[in-house]
Amino acid sequence: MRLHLQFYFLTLFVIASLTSTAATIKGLVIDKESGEPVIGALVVIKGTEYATTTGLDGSYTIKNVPKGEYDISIQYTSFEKYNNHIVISDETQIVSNNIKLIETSSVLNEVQIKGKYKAGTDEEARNLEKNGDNLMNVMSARAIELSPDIIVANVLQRISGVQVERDENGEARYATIRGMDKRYNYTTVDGIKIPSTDDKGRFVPLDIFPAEIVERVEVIKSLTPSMEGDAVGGVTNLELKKAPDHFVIYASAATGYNQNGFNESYNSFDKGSLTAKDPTRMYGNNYSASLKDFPLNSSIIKPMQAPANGLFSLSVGDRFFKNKLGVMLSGSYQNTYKQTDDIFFKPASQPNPYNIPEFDDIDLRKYSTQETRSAIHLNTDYRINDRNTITLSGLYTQLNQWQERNVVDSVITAVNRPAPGLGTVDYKDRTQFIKQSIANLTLRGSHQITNRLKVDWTVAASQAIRDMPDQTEFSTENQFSKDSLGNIKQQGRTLKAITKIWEYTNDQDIQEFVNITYVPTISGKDIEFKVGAMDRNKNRDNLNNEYDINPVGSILYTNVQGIQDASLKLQNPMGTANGNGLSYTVHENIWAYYAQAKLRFFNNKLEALGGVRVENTFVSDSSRQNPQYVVAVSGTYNYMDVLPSLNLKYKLSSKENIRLSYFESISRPGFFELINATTPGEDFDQVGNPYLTRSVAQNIDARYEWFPKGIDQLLVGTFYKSIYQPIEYLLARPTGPSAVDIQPTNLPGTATNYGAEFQITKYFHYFGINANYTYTHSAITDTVQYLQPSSTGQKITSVTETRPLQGQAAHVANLSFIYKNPKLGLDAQINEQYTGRHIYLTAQFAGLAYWQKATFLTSLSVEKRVAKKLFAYAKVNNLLNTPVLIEIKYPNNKLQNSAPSSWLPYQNLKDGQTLVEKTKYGQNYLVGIRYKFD
Amino acid sequence: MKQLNYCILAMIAGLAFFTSCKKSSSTSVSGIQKQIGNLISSDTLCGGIKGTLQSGKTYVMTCPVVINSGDTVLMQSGATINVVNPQAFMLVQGSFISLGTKAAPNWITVKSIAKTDNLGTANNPSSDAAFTNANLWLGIQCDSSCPLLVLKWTHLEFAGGTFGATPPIASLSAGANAWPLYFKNANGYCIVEDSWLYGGTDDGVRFAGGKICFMRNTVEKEGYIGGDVFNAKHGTVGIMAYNVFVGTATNGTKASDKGTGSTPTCQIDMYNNTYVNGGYRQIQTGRGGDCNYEQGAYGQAYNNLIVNCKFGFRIVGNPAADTSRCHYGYNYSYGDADSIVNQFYPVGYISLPVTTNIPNPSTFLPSSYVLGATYTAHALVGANNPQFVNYPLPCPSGAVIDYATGYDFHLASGSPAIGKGYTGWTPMANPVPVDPTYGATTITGPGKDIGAYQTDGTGNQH
Repeated sequence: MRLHLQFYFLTLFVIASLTSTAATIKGLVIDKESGEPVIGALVVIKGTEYATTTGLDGSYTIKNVPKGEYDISIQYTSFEKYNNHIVISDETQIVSNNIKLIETSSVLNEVQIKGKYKAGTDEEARNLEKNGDNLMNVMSARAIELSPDIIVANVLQRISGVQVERDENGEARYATIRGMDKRYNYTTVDGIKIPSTDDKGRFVPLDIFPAEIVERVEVIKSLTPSMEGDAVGGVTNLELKKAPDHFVIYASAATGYNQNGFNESYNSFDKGSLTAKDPTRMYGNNYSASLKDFPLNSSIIKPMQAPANGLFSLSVGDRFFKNKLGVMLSGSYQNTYKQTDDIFFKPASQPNPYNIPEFDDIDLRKYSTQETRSAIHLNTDYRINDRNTITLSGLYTQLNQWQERNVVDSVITAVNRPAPGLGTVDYKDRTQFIKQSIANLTLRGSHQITNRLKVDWTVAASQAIRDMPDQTEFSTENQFSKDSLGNIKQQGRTLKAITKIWEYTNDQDIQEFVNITYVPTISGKDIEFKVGAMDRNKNRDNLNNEYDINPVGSILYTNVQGIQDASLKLQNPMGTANGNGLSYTVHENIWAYYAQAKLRFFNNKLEALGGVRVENTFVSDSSRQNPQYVVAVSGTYNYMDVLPSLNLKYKLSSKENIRLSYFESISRPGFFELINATTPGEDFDQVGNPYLTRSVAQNIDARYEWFPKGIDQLLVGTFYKSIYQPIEYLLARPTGPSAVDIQPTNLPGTATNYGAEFQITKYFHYFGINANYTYTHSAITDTVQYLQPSSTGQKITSVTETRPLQGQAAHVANLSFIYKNPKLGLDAQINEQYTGRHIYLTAQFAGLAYWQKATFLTSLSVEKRVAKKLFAYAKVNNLLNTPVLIEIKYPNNKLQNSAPSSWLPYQNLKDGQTLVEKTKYGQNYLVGIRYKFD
Repeated sequence: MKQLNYCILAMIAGLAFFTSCKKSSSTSVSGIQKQIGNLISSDTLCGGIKGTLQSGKTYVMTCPVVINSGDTVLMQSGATINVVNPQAFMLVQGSFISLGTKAAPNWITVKSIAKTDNLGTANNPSSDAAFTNANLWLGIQCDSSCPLLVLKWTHLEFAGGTFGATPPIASLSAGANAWPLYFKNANGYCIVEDSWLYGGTDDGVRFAGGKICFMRNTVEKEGYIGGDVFNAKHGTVGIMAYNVFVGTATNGTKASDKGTGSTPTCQIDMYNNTYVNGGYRQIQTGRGGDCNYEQGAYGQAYNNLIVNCKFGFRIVGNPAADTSRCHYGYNYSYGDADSIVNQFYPVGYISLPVTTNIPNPSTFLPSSYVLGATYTAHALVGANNPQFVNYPLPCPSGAVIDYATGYDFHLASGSPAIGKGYTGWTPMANPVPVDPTYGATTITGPGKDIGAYQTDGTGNQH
């Protein structure tokens, strides 16, 4: 940490030295109507070369102005030009010259339709946070541009109360909001829930969205009756770029590299040699496959130097037909390469007596991943007249991921590991291609029927596809043993197995929404009544087909090409698609309605929004397993939830609010989670649980908000949640004594989760600081096992263990130092992201949970105007290559005191605990240019 | 103002109404689709069955067979089941009793597969029907509701096929090789005596719980490139005695308390077994070859005869067997080669060099011997030949004999193993009832000769 601080100060010093000049004329430029500072206004002393622009707090200074009389002009888009006269009689004089600008009338017209703030700006974000009905945090497109991030998921970690869950490449994929795992949150795009490409859950992987199509990201932490009720932590809403008021064009191009690419080779394979469809989809369900259906070319690994990354984006928008028709078209394409190194200790299904950890395998994994992320978004609106608008938007986003995973797996279960360096070593190469896409088409209408009655409606059709063709894993093994003379002998690498898997997930839905708003005056008060209904019909199909190819006898392995068909046997010619629990269908119908009212009391200082929402859920599922031998091949789950909520907002002043909210919400089990089957996972296989029920949560929030000026803000909040029957992933052995699987399970009783959040943004002229900190505390008491000897052999006893919810870190913080100089067109920030320690995986045995240690992630980004409307930028992510470390709370030196065969390598954690996983993602560098015309 | 009050009242009333009826829910999850057990009336077996398989008849199993909970199938002596579908298995949720006799044994086999018992290098497991034939079937799979499984004088053969996408019991895996016999009811009785197990690709018998008695059986060619023969896990208590194991992939008898839970700790007494040529097809290093205790399991092991197995009698130290309750000695080892005799006390493990063992470890282990250390004992190569009636020792060069046909593992008169058995100890109380039909025929205590065959005519009857 000390190193980090030094680094900050050094950087700050460098930035500060750019601005060290004396001052003589200074002042503040504000909007006359709103009192808000005007940022970036041009301040010119006429007839001289003295000029500047206002900073982020609206302030400006012009230094070293000689004695004399001057006309000063101040101008900014949408405001009337302002002139005044100043006399400087003394060179040491400091003239204070505060100015109020008046908005031009043309802008006022737009305001009625578009809102007051320019889309995608921090100002708009602050305004939404201040004036919205619910508690939320908003990050603007501009803030995202200046952040070190290129995908939405990484952006989220900068937002107060949000912690991210990363994939094996270190890319954020899912959001944990206020300590609540991804299952307790949902994602919307422009307010519409989109289907998930995830083969198991409901959660939308956020790494599929490039940041450049987004206008702002909202994290909504309290629900109103008009919102869908299945969020406990919160809702992530992506507002995509909307049709503008005038012609705009944004473009960017960038290139970059991952540090690991300099240090080691990238494992590529022939993408063209993948077989797109599995034999059952090509030839029908009764097809008996043979080895010729499974060419092995895609398993030929070619090490190379990773190519450079390329990122491009383009957005064009305009308004036509007397401003009636607005169009915005945004596109983005990113092609990136990454390498990740990982060490993983796989626990044995059962520890030693007294719960001393025992491991089966040490995996040294190397991932080489190419991702292409493309997105196109079209937003058009047609303003029929002042009262009626129709909007049509379409989104298509696609993430292609090619990954090679190389694993050196030392079997260390001491049963067949006489000593370190001896025993079995498996070598596995897995080639994988996953194509995920989300398509959505949304049509909306908004009709102001009378001044007091408004109807709006939405119809949306969406489809999410995840296609994983021809995933191939090639495993070979070698044996190391000692002869009687103590010499280590190698048996030679032999082929162990080849596994091919095809998986295809198709999730599509159609949803309709209608809302009616009526604002009568009752007893002299305007009361806004709103009722509405929604319906979503979802169909999900999942196909999974696996073929196993085994060697006939012992085949010495040299390379893939050397493997002859003759020496292979196709273990299961029929595949597993028919009869497999992973081939399943789900139908889900959500039908909900609500009523809410918004009233104001005490001279409109107190705003109350309350009501109730009713959600009906009808789920039916079935898998292709044989019902003669398997329970829960199909199931239906119908339930109704009545979800009351109340949001109160009290305006202490025009710049301060106090909010208080209560809502009840639910969290539904994921789709695959209800299927009685096992699916392979990255670390552990996952087993379904057909008896899962939804969790129900009571949520209370309070927040103090202060928006002193400009984009400064101070938010201090606290929350309390009580979750009935929360769902957690527990390590379990449902399929036998040797297997270790994870299974989603309703914990009995109620978990509580409470905490506090703090967010501050403060600018001092060109400098800014943005910090947030979230504390969460959750507690759940769980029954776990303790293994000990007894008079009749070893016994398991049940003990209770109180722990936080899985994945929840008590402390999450962000700190950014920002420098923005509109005059130089320079923006720079250093960001430090801190995630406290948290449970990575719970354990069935007491004391053996996997804990992820706290991480600091440092990143840096700079943008500089190089020409009019043209900017150059650079981003460095994970500057210090911080490893992710996961440990078991058990002293590693005690492990080493047992039999030599259990000695473990890599045990060098400073806290003396047992390391179970270490991942290094490497630094990510990016440089690019951006063009903006707006 | 009044109107406003009404309005708020109405809203509260509405809320109260909703709250009173909230959280309705209904869940229905499908159960097992039952197949009614039909009384056996034809020679074709398929689907749910119960009743009697008659003496002298041959039945054809054409598809998976289920014996429902509460139902019993009794196989009279001299009956045969010929399995003709590699996806067929016998799922036993009720009871299955096969009462072969010495004169008229029963057969559960695949008649189309010919046995290839070749001496020497011609015996290649990759082309041996016992391990790789496409018609290997899926065995007898006893669910947790099975109270009783009895095999007497029964040939159980060629059950090592690959499960399709839906295995019959949830704890079995799709695409995995079947175990010829699987038993998982800790409260049930599993009795296999005087029977023959031939061919199979993984474990021969897997116990995930049960009260067991496995006596006087002969096992050949179990496990292709891995797998133990009688592999007992947590919840399994019983006896494995007087069995003959020839050419097993890994261990013949193994006890491990893996899966520790609420049922009894794994406790197995292993005595008077004969293990020949075990452990060679297992492709992983550090596995056993005959008699093995690990991970919390315990029991008594005496009078075993271990001939030319890749590793000797093995107690695993981590995860450790319950060494305080493991009692063993009087085990007899023979080896043809240095690589065998130097593993009588397997390197890396914690088998105690008990001085009652033959040969006496004090004659060849160094005085500084530490458990699991390497040692050399060249003098033992070919020493202490147990003198089988008909079996070549030392074994011909290059041959790993994995079958019993044509050989006789009785002890020749004059064998140094005769009279060396230890009878001064008491095996566990009978783990299963003794009954001509519903239990073990006889449960025999330790024998006075080492190995499965006794000069007094007791022990293995094959």
